[in-house]
Amino acid sequence: MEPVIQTTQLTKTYGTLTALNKLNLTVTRGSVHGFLGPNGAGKSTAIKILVGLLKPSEGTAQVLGQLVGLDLPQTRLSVGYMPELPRFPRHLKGVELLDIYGRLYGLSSQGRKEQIPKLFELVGLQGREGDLIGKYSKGMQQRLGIAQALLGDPELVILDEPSAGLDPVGMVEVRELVKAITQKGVTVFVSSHLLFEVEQMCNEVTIINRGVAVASDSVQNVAHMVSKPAVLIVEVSNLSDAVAEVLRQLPFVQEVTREKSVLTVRLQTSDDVRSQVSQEISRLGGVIVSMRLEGQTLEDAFLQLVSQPRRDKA
Amino acid sequence: MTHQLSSSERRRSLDWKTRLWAVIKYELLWSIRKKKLAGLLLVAVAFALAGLIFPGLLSPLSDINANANVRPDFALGLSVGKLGFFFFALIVAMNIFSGEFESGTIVPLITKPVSRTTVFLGKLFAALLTVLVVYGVFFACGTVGGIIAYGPQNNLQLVPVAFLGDVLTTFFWVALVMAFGSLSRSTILTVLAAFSLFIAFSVGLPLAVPSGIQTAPELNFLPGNGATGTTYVNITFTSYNPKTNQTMNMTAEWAKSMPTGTDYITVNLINFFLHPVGNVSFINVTDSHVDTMPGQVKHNDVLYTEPNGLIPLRAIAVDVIYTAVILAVAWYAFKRVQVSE
Repeated sequence: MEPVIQTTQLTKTYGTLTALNKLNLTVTRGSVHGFLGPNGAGKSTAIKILVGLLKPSEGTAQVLGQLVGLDLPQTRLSVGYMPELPRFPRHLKGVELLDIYGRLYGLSSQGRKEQIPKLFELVGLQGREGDLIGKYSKGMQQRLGIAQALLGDPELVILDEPSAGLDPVGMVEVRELVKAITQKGVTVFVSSHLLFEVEQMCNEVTIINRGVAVASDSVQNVAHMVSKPAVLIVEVSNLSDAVAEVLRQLPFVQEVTREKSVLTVRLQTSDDVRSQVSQEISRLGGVIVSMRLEGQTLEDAFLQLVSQPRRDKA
Repeated sequence: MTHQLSSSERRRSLDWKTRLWAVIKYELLWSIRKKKLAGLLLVAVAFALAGLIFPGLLSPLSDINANANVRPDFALGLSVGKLGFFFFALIVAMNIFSGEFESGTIVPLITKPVSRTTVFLGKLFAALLTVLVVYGVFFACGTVGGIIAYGPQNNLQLVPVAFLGDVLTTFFWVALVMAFGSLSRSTILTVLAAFSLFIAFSVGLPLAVPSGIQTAPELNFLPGNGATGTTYVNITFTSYNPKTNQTMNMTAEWAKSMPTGTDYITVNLINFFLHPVGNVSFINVTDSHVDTMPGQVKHNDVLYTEPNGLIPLRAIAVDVIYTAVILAVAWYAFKRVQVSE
C-alpha cells in the first residue's frame, strides 16, 4: 500500500544547526502514527516541511504520493493540519473562520452549510459558532483548530502537539476527538512529547531525537526494542516454593526472587512471555492476583533511545 | 462524522476565484472589525472638511495653487496631497503581511490548499478596495460639501480625474509598504522603512539637489518628486485705479510652477484637462530668476519643453512600472518565505 507520508533523507539546516538529519519516515494509510521526541528533536520542523511552511535543505518529502514544497497547494487539498498552539484571527467569528477556510478548500456553499455545523458539534463548540474567536478559551481554540483541520474531509490529518497548553480535562477531550477522527479511517499523524498520549492514541510510532529517527514501528514493537531486560511482578495467592523453582528453569528467565506473596521475575527476552509464566504458576496451584510487566513500555524505550549518543557522533 | 466530498466537489476545489474571494473577504473583515476602515474614513472626511473650511490649507501639500475665493477650477483643491497619499497607504498596507506573521495567523492560512499568489492577490485587491472606498468618501464629501458651501461649481468632470490620479499615486506607496511588510514581516520595521523613504523622496531629495538640478529630466523617471517645470496660463483679473476710480478687466500670462513626478499625477492630469494644448517648460532657474511675474521668466534658459499631455502620461507610466516592479518583489518575497516560528 502506498504510504501516506514518506520522507527520504530529509534534512533541514539553519546555518550550522542541523534540525533534521536525513530523516526517513513512512506513515501507512489508515494508521494513527505518533511522532515522538523530546523538545527540540525536530518534530515541528519535519511537520512544517510536510505542510509547506519550510523548504528542506536536502532530501524529499511526499504526502499522499505528491512531492511537497513551499507553494504547492494541490498537495494540501486532502490534508488537514493543526499547528501547535494554533492562532486564528481573533476578530473573526468561529463560523466565519470555518466558512473562509472551507472556501479555500473549495467546498461549495452547500458543502459548507452541511459540514461546518457537524464539525462544531464534533468538537463540542455548538452554540459558540457566532462568538468571536478572541472570546474563545485556549481549549476552545484548540478544538477549533481540530475542526478546521477536518474541513474538506481530508485523507490525512496532521496534528502538531494537539494537547499543548491544555489542562488535563482538555487533554482527555483532545484524545477522544482524535479517536473519533480515526474511526472514519482517516490517517492521523500526531506529534507529541507526551508518551502516555501516544500510547493511548497511536498504533504506530516514530521516535525522533536530534533530527534523526531512532525508531519507527508499531507501538508494541518499539516498546520491545528496549534492550533492558523486562521484569515481571506477579502477586500470587497460595504461593509455594516450587513455583519460584520451576520459573527459574524457564529458558527466558534470568532470576526469580520472592518476597511474601510477590514474585519478581527478571526476564532475558524482549518477547511478551506473560502467558507462559501464568500457565506455569496456575499448573502448580498458584492463583495470580496481579501481574505487571515493567521495563518494556514505550516510556522505557523512549528514554533509552533518546539518551543514546547520536549516531553521527558515535 | 464529516461531509464526504464528491469528486465533482473536489474538481470545483481547484477554482481559484472562490479562493481569491475568500482571501479578500478575510482581509476586508480584518479591516472592518479592527476598525481600520472606520478610522480611515474618519480621516478622509476630516481631510475633505479641512479642504472646504480652509481651502488653502491642503493645497500647499500638493503644490496646487487653489484660489480659495474664486475656485475657478473646483477640483484643484480636491486631492489628499503628498502627506495624504503616504498616510492612507501606510495605514492600509502596513500590517497586511507583518500582522499575519506577528500574530501567527499566517500559518493556518497558507497551509490551506491555496497558492500564495492567490493569498497575495487577495490581500492586494482588498487593499485596492479599501483605498477606493476611502477616496470615494473623500471625493464625495469634498464635492458635495463644496457645492453646499460654495454653490454650483465648474469643471466637475475633473473630480473623477483627480480620483484616478490620487488612487494611482497612493498605490505606489501601498506597493512599497506591502513590499517592506513582505520582506521584513515586522510592522515596526515596515513603518520605519516606509517613513524613511517617504522623507527621503519628499524632503531629502529636494533639499539635497541644487535648484538647477530639479529640472533634470532624469527626475521624471524616479518615483515621488519629478522635475519642476513652469507653465504659462492666461489669467483674467480686475484692476482698480483709485485715481480714476475705474475698474478694468485685464488678461495676462502667468507663469506657474508645475511639479511633476508620480506624487503629482493628479495635478498634472488636471493641468492637462484644463489646458490640453499648453506646455510645461523646464527652466534653468537661478536665485536671480525666482520671480515668476509675467514677462520676466521668459528670459531664463529653457532647457526643454514638454506638452501638458505628455507629463501625466509619463508619470502614470513611471508610477505603474514602479508599482508593478515593487509588487513583484513583494510577491516573490511572500512566495519564498519560510515560516519557522
